[in-house]
Amino acid sequence: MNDDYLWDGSGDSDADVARLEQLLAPLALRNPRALPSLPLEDVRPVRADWRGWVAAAAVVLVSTTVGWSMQRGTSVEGEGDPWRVARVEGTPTLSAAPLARHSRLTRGRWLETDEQSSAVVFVGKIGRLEVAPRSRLRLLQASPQEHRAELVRGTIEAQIWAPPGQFAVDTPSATAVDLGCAYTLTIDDRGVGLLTVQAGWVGFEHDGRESFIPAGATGHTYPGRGPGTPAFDEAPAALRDAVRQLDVADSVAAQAGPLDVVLQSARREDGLTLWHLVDRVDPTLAPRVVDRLSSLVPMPDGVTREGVLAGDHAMRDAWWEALGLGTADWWRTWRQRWPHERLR
Amino acid sequence: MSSPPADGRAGRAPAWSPEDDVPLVLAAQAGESASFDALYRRHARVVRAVLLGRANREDVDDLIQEVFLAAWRQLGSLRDPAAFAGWVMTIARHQRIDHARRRRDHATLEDAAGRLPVTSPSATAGVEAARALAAVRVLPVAYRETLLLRLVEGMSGPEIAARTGLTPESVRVNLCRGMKMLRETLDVSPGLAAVERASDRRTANGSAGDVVAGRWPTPKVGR
Repeated sequence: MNDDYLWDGSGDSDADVARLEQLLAPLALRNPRALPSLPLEDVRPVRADWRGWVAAAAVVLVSTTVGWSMQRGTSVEGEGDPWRVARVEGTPTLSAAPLARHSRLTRGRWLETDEQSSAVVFVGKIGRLEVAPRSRLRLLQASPQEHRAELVRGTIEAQIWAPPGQFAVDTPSATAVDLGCAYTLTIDDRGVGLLTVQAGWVGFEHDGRESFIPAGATGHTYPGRGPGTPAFDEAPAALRDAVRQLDVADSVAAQAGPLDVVLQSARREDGLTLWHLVDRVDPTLAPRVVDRLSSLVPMPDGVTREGVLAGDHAMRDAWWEALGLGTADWWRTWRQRWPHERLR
Repeated sequence: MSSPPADGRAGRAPAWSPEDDVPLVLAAQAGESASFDALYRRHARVVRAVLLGRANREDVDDLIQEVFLAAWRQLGSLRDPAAFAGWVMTIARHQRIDHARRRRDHATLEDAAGRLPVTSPSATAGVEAARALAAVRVLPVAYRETLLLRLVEGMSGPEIAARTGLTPESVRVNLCRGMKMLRETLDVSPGLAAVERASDRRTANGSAGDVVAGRWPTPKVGR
């Protein structure tokens, strides 16, 4: 379907979009000039006057005291860049106690929501998580350099505006590393995860196995296996079904059938999926994946069939660049910032 | 569904950039209320779309004022004047959450229908609009806000990208995927009650469902 009309109103009119525009347009703010004036004179802005300096001095004093206490080994609940949690619906619990209207979420404490409750977590200064009903989440690390949580069940919607690599979520089957984005992560009762990215990128990693999921794509992760193969949500349904079969197929015989489907139905955009499959399928099947990917996205100069099949990282990266999905630099940057041993 | 767009508004090119706010923000930080008033009128449409994702129309008008009064109060803490647009959207999202907590989301869809503007051409259109708005409100937040800016405020994709700080590619994905989900919801849920049932189903499915089977659970999380 041509989305030009949805994008900017150009091209042929999309009847559904046009009808929704017509229905919802009366809710628009037609004339901002007609808005009532704000009573600004009744509200005193916060200024950096002498009161601010007094407040800053107080902050320094408190920080110094807290730091001194930490150095002495005193138990301090505070974190470097604290998380806060607020109740949205129902009664979530924090360390099994009912959550008050809001609270600080400190390291190691479990936040749980039942069928009727939900919460929002403010991730230091870098983002927020909306925690859906029937979820269980705890904070592992909160510092300006690293924010880390563990989700063992349920769903979070994350919006993170920190530089890539500063926010990660451990799950029973992989670690999701934010590369600057908005995404939704669900873990079911068996520990199987599903990650859908709405903006930016997310890296999924477990025991050296990695998946990189861009906006518009979905990736699964499986206990004992780690990240599965990402696929765009707009990809043919047959391809997406076959990818899920491939993710849990261990033998050449079990992989051959679904791989046929993937190779036959792949579009150029599905280079994302094929690129990941090169080293996911049995080595005897990998040449078929490379050949099909090459027919959709020709190898750039300096990249060879033999090199890719031999696992040459530089060639893999160069081919990735040719997919047009964004630079591999983010990935490499993340890998430098988050070496394998820190992710485990 | 063959009606033309309300006024072809989406074709506008982005006519604003974050740098345009800098002189106004600096003047407002120095205490010039007139400059802040200009920022308020410039960004009210985007803030309104963020708030509409949860609050009803009557409350939205009050909440817009609350958002900008909070921004005025905290303006001294804004270090990058060019970041004003994103900053005020963040305040709006927090207000939306506070509002949902206060209201506990008791408003029904019938309430929403009753609160639609009197300019709706007919009661039927009002009910249809309420149904459409209800369907948008159960989408993931990224799709919801982008679609409200497009369908309610009539902004084009490039304009939404400029206003929200998202990349054009992300806006396009949000629009396309959000619209796809919206079509599915509206197609399978022809009545108000059906939309409410769909919302309930999403809530149930959103609780760690069978993700391997590909039934993507979109939970109802209060905002």
